[in-house]
Amino acid sequence: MGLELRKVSKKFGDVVALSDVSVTVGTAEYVVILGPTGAGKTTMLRVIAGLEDPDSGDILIDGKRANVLGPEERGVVYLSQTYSLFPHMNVWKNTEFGPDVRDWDPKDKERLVTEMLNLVRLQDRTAAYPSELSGGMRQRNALARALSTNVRTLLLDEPLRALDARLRLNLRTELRKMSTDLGITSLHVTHDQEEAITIADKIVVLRKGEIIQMGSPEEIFNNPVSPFVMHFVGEANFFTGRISSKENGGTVLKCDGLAVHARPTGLPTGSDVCVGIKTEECSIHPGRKEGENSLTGRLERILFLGRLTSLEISSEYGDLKAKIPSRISATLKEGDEVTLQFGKNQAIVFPLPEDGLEKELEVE
Amino acid sequence: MPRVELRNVSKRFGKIVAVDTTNITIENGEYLSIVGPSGCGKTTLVKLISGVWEPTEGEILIDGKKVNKVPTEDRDLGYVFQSIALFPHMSVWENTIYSPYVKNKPEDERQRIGEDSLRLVNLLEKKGLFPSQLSGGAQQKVGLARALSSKAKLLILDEPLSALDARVRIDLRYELRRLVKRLGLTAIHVTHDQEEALSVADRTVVMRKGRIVEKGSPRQLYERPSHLFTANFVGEANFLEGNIKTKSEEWCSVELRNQQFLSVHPTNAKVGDPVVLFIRPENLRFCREFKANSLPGTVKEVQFMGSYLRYKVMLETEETALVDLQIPHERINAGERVMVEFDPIDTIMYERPPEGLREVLRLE
Amino acid sequence: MALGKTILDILSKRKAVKGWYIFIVVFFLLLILLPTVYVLGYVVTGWGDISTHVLSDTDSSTVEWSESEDADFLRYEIHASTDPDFYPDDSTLRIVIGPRNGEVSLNRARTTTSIIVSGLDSKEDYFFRVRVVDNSSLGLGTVSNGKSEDDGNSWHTPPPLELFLPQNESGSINLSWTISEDLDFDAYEVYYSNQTNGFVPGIGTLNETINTTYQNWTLFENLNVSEVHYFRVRVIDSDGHWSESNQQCFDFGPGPPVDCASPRPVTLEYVNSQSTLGTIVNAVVLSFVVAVVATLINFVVGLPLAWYLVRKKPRWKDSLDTLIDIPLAFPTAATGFSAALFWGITPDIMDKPIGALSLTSSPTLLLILLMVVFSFPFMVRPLASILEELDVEYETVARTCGASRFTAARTITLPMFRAGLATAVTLCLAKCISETGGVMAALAVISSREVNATALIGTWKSASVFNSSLVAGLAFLSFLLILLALLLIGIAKLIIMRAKLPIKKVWPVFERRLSRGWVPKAKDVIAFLFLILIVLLPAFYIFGYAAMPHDVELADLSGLWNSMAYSFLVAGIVTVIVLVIGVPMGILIARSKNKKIASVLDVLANIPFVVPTAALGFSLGLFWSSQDVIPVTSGVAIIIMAHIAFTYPYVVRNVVGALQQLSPEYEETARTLGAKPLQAFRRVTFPLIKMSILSGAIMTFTRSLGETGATLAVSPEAITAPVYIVSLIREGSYHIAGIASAILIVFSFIAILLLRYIIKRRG
Repeated sequence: MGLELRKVSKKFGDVVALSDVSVTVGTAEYVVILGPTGAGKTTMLRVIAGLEDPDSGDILIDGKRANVLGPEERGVVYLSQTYSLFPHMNVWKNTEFGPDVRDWDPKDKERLVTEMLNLVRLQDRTAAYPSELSGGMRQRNALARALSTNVRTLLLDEPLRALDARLRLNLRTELRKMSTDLGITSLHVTHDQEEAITIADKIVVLRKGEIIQMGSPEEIFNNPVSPFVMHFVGEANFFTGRISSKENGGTVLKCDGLAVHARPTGLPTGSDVCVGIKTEECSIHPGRKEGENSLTGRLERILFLGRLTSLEISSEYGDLKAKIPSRISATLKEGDEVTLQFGKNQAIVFPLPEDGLEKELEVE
Repeated sequence: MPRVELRNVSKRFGKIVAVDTTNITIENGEYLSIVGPSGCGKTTLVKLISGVWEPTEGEILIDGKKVNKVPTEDRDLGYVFQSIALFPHMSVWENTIYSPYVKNKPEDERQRIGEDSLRLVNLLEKKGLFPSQLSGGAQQKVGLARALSSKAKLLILDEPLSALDARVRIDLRYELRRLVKRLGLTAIHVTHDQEEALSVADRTVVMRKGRIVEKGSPRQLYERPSHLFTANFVGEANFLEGNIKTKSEEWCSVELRNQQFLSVHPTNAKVGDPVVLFIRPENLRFCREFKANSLPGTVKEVQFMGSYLRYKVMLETEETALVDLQIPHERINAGERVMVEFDPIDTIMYERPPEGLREVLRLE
Repeated sequence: MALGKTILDILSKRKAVKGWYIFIVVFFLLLILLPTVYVLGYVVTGWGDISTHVLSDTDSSTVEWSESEDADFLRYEIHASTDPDFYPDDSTLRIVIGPRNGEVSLNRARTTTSIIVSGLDSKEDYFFRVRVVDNSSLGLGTVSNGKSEDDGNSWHTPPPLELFLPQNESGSINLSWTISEDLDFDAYEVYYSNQTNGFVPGIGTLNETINTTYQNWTLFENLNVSEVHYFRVRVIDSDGHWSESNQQCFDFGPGPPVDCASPRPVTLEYVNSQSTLGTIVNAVVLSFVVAVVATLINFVVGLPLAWYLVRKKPRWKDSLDTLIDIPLAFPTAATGFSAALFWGITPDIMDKPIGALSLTSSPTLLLILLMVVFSFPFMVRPLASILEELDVEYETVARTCGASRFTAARTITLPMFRAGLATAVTLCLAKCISETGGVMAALAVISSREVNATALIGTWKSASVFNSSLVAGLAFLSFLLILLALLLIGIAKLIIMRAKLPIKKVWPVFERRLSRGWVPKAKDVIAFLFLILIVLLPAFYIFGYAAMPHDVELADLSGLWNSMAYSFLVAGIVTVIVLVIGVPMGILIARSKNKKIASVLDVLANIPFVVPTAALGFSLGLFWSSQDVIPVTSGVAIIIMAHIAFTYPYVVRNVVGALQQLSPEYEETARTLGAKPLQAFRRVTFPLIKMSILSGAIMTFTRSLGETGATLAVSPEAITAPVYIVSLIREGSYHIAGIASAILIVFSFIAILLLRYIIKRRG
């Protein structure tokens, strides 16, 4: 049953925050809302939580229409970006807040709070105030506070944003694991595509209040429906051109004199299109190399990222990027002549966006 | 020509030691990044260099001259802030020419400097707008233009990308490096994001608790870190604890938990010493049958990471290993028994720290 | 607590909450805002009166005389005529202070020794006399000396004489009187009548003329022993102007002597005349000049101090904060007295403790110095709080761009805190224009007869009991004061918000010099010296004065205890009511979903801030007396309403400010965690804004305790502690006033500490 949004719209003045958004979240599912700042992600959570009233559309929680219910009656907990731990309460009091306002039996309360604080490993810090906790501890305290209400649905608004990058990597998996272990339905908002891919059961890509694509991380990553999704979820190289022919199991495009062999498409021959290739799916070879989907150019810049190395290549078809495993990049030098290659199946064809490619690819 | 030197610099706020007897030299034209968890003293360090704070002890030299007492405005540097801090009551243009303006430069020079700076960040056409009308990324570009307008050769970037969306951050960090190198600046870039630190810099400094843990080229820090904290902080890492069983000129056999053994290249450690082995997830392989230098285990979880899969393997040693395998490969399912192969070239041995591995790796 | 819980449970019901909010808003609009500005409407309806009494070409004369000491005192009658030789009769009677025949006596009549006679034709010269009447002399009383409008030299009569009780010396009657002190003495004229009690001296009754000053007696022989004999003596100067004595009588009967002595004459001391409009304009000009100058001074000095407080964060910041707030805690009448003793040349006070500067007798200068003290915290507080909010990072940014500290502050920080500056200037100006008690005390101490607008309201309001035509003047004055205050504050805000504050040009070298070395240090030192010497020392001077050996008995302070009990009662009730109605209003404004209504309410709730309290008090009094829907006749009730009106914005502002700074996320999170709206407020929001409410409550309490203007303007009968102190000073009982001031200050402090303690514990 979980949670459902049916054609929900919300405007703030003239600004459209949500436009006809319909999403279903199954029980114990972990759904990530991914999109740039201003896409309407937070508004979506707030509408579900009852902190904003939608202009139109319905919110169903466990199959029941929840539009008219107050936030405290919806059985969902909203966790803001800053966690909003009550600064005048210590860890214990914060965690006890939900049971407290429900006037539960003191013994149950104590048992529940202890259990939750053990779960998030804060049992030794019960007397500490939020200002005395580290970022990670605060997040865990906020989780314990949410879970001690016995509510089974969590709305997480960028729960990792306030944390250091390295810590985020550890905590995101932890968060996901806890949610799965406890059978919690989660709606997690983020602008971080890597975070979304790593922890989601389902990703909803939101842009300017509209859902662009919805699906499993693999679907989003491998079969993006638009250049924006492809570019946002990992960088990509794009070419614009026209479909020149369709061959067996593929498409051939003419892009400014360059022939690109790409995945099959339903678009008719002769349509104006663009084609995108994920930078992580390009391979690099030293020197000039001929063949299908091969572009030779000068290696302008090498950026070492850790596991991967990002390469910038200037070719006669424009500036290209590739991300390759660092163990392979060790021998490359800036200024080298290199060839970038990609497989036919890595090149995805999209109709040319109405407002132009550049506008489509804007990430903010 | 800026060359910045810190000699035994310490900074204390009351009882808190923010920077502890630190020595470092930043060469002319170098792009240095300083990375570390929150509260490690990295921001304090650049505030000392820029003169916002005065060191409690030690000397700061710019171009060989001691500048401890020289106020910020006379140190001739550009500064880009985490909070961006564009002056809200000034337009993009006024923000950009603030430096020549307060130095009372003639009108035509202001004009020229302002245009140059804005052109460098591709925002010349937005010069009439006010900061609140710009997206986060564009705001920070103006912040950068404002810093460049000081025409200083030393640029300090204090967590310049932290306030931005993950996707925007990626684009902007390339741009930062490109600009710094093109203008031949000396740059000091502070960040908590290990990937950012590695990607932008010629040399990276890892800090923790007010002290420098390690410095070196990004690749060196990632691939051959000389400290366990660095190994963990700059990327995902696997650690196995054991004792040296036998040692020869070329090989050193380490006994892990449950009578498991691995051979690695020897270090100074003696037979019987407690050690920690480190290897990056992307350097591990699966093999079907038993091979030398491999450990048996069970796949617990498979995580989709975009261009690769991350396998979580419970090893016979009761330690978890992450194994990253590039897609495509022959997929292994959760629950399967596997052998995990450790390449001695990529496996690094450290003495086990007396305070325990966990303590050394702590991120906050 | 159990009761509180029940109430809270009832209030949790959505309808109850809504109803409560509606009540709060209606209460505010009808009982606070409307009365506050009621006078504006009155000006329209009462325009006829105003044009007759104020705008037409009429004079209003201030007349002052000595207090009658007659045990049997009944009333004063003020007579005026264009004929210098007039004899007071019904046709010349202008004002009666006290009951006419048959009315009940008023307590305040005897001590009222000053009155404004209005509605005089400005083209004519008027001559005044005051007649004092007692109960037994049946009507005629005793006429004072005479004075003309042009206080003093052009026309005046000799000081009046006192006729002593006639003595029977072996059948003849010896009549004697005080020797005339008039330098221009010409003659004594002795009048005698054996027929009429209360005869009017005239040619028919003139008995004898004596030309020697020192012959202050005469003998009557062969008087009919069956009659009662009446006497009066006049003194004539060389111009022929006369003054009269009281009447004495004598009867030879065996019984007790008939009491037909009229009261001893009072001396007419001062007559000043000005056009009514002129008086109003002068007072208003004084008020505004003082307010503007004091605000400018406070800005110049307050800014560096606020800067120091916020940016340098000295270790003793808390103590410094308290010091700056001291003028808020001291009742202004006491501070005004103190500062006037310190700065003023005080003719009647000989024994001041050392340290007094005794610099000036100029009322303008003294008032400026005074206002600087009163309004100092109103400038520094908002400046400091807005600086606190501004990210220091901006200045750091500017400095990394090469701007010196001074340049950075000038080009970046100053333009960014315009809003805060506007608030500070508004508060400061409003406070200066509003201040009454301190002004009245200070002006009395330097024996100045000049008044500012609020003091004029106070004076006229007490006089209006006896001269009802002054109500028109009061209404016009209040109207003008409110209008000009709003205008001035509006203009100041406009200038601050619009002015091109950062002068475009930069002088790097010069500004750099200002940023380093001794200049910034000197700036800090001057700010501190100012705080200590100009603000604190004059405020604390009263303790030195109070500690001097005085021959004041404890019994003399009984009036103080009564007035203090009254004040504390009023302040206590006001604080409770303002909290009850102000906190929900603040919440409504800060959290209302309807931003338009919220911002309108916000503006409205702040109006009482800028309405000078004396004008507000007058307006309120007018409102309550001119409606009969709610029968409020008790002076205390109206005073409480007035105090609620001008303290209301303090609580509302504080709550709104605190809530706007507090992220709504706390409350929202609490709601999604299962808390009902009121639970969320009680457990999360309230504890987080508690301190702001507390400071609002303290502000309300102290402002109510120290308020003079509004109290006087509502009802001159209400003797609150500051009113009492002002009246002591005006009476010349300086020593008692000094001790009373010191005691009041100490008690205010204790009350504040207590309040702080109670609210902290309860919260």
